[in-house]
Amino acid sequence: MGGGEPSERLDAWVLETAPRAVAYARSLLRHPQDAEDVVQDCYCRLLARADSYDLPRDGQKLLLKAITNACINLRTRRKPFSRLIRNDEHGQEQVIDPNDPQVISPEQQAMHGELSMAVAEALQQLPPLQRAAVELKSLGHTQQEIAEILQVTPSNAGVLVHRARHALAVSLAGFLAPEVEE
Amino acid sequence: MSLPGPSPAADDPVERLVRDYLDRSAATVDAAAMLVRVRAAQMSQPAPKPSRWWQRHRVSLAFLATAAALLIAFVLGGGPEPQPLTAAQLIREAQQTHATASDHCYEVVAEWNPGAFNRTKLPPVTRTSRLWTRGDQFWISTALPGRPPLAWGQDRDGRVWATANPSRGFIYEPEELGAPLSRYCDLLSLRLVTTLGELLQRYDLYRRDSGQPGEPIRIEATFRPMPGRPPPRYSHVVLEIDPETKIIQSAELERRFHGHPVGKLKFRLVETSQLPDDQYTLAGHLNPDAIVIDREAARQGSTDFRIRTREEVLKWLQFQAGAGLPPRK
Repeated sequence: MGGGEPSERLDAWVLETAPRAVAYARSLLRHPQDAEDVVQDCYCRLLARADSYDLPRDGQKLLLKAITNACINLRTRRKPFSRLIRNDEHGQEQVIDPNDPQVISPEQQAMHGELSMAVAEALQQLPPLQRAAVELKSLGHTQQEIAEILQVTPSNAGVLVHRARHALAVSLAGFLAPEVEE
Repeated sequence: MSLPGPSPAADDPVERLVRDYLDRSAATVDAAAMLVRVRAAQMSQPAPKPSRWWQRHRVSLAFLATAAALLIAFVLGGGPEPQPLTAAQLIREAQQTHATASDHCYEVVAEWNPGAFNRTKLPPVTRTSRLWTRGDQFWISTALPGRPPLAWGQDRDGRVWATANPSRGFIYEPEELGAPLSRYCDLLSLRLVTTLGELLQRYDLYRRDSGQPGEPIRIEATFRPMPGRPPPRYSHVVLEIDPETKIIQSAELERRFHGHPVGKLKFRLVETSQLPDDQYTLAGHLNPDAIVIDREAARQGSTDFRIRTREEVLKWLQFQAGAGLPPRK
C-alpha cells in the first residue's frame, strides 16, 4: 500500500487487535510484562513499515507471525539459564521452566476461574508451536494461515493442531462432554 | 467483547475451551494503554536510516527537491499549506503535555439537573472545587457546607489521602478504593491512559475550531456504542486546548443515567504554577505531630471512633465519585 496511512486508521487497528495480540503473547510466554513488551515491539516494527502494508486489512496475520517469532526467540534465549529440576509426588524428576511457571500466582488465581486455570495449565504443558497452533486454530485461522504464521508446511501445521488438540482433550477430560474424552 | 480477525470456527469442544480462555484473557487487556505505549516508543526511536540507494543519491535528490520546491514557490507564490492536526493527534499531544511535571490548577464545577434526582430521592448537588494536577498525581480542595474544606488527593503510589484538619489525616490503599472512586481519581488526575486514552478508543472525535492561529482548539467527543460493552460514564465531552502549549484549558463532560442527561462536570484552567512536591501528599497538609490513620493503624489498636471516621471519609469520597447517583446497572 503506498502513501501515508492516516494515523487514526492505524490507531484504530492497534486498539482493535491489541487485546487478542496480548492474550496470545501472554499464553505463549506466561509473563504478562514480557508479553506486553513483545507486542509493543511488534507493533512498532510493523507500524514503521506501514507504507508497505495495508495493516488494517492484512496486519493481523503479520502481527501474529511477528509475535510468535518474538515469543519463541525470547523463550529460547532464556532457557539455558532458567531451567530447574524438581521431583514430583512419585519421585520422578521434572524439568521446570520458569518461563512457564507451574505455580500460578494468587493474582492469576483471582483473575481466572477453575476452568480457565485448567485450560492455562493444560496449554502450558504443550510445546510452544503446538500451543500456538491450537490457539490460532481456536481463533478461526485456517490450516494454511497457521502454516504461514508459524512458518511451517500446511501438513505440519495440521499435525501440530492435531497433537495439541489430543493432548488438551486428555488434560481437560473432566471439563469436556463424554463423547470427546479420549 | 468484539474482537477482529477470522470468524471463530471453534466447533471442536477443545478449541472452544481454548477460544474462551483467550477471550477472557483479551478482555483484561487495556488496548488504549498499549496504543499509548506504542506511540510513545515510536516517538523515542530514531528516524529510520535511509536505504543504500537513497544514501548514494541523497545529494542529487536533495538538490532536485530544493529546486522543485523553489520552482513551486516561484510559480504559486508559496509552499503547500501544512495539514491541520486531527482531533486524535491533538489529544495525543495533550496527553504528552499533561504527563510532564508542571502543576495545573482547575476549577471544577459539578452541575446536576434538578429533575434528574427525582427518582433517586437525593438532593441535587452543585459543588465547586479546586483541583491541582501534576502528571498522575492530584489534590483537590472541596468546600463543604458549614465545615472546613476537605483536602484530598492521590499520591504517586496511587494511594488516596484525605484530611479535614491539619491534626489528623487518613490514607487509603488503592485496593480499598473501589472501581467508581478509582475511575474518578483517573478523571481528576487527567490521567493519560485511562481518560484521554478512553476518548481515543471509544469516542468519535471532531475538531470544532477553524484552525486559525491563536484560536483555542475545540474538540467534541461523542461516545461510540460498541456491542457487548457498557457505555462509559460520560456520553459527550468537549475539550478546549491551548494551540501553543497543548494544555487543556477546559473540559465539559456530560453524564447520562439510564440514557438521560443528568448533569455536567466542568473543568476550567485557572492557574499554572510550580507547587512544592509535598502538596501532593498527606504530609504537606498536616502538622508535624498530626495523627495519620492508614489501613495498618486502623487494624492495630486505633480507637473505634477513628476507624469509623476513616470508613465514613472513604464512603464520602466514594459518594463524591458517584456524585450522588446510585451505582450504574
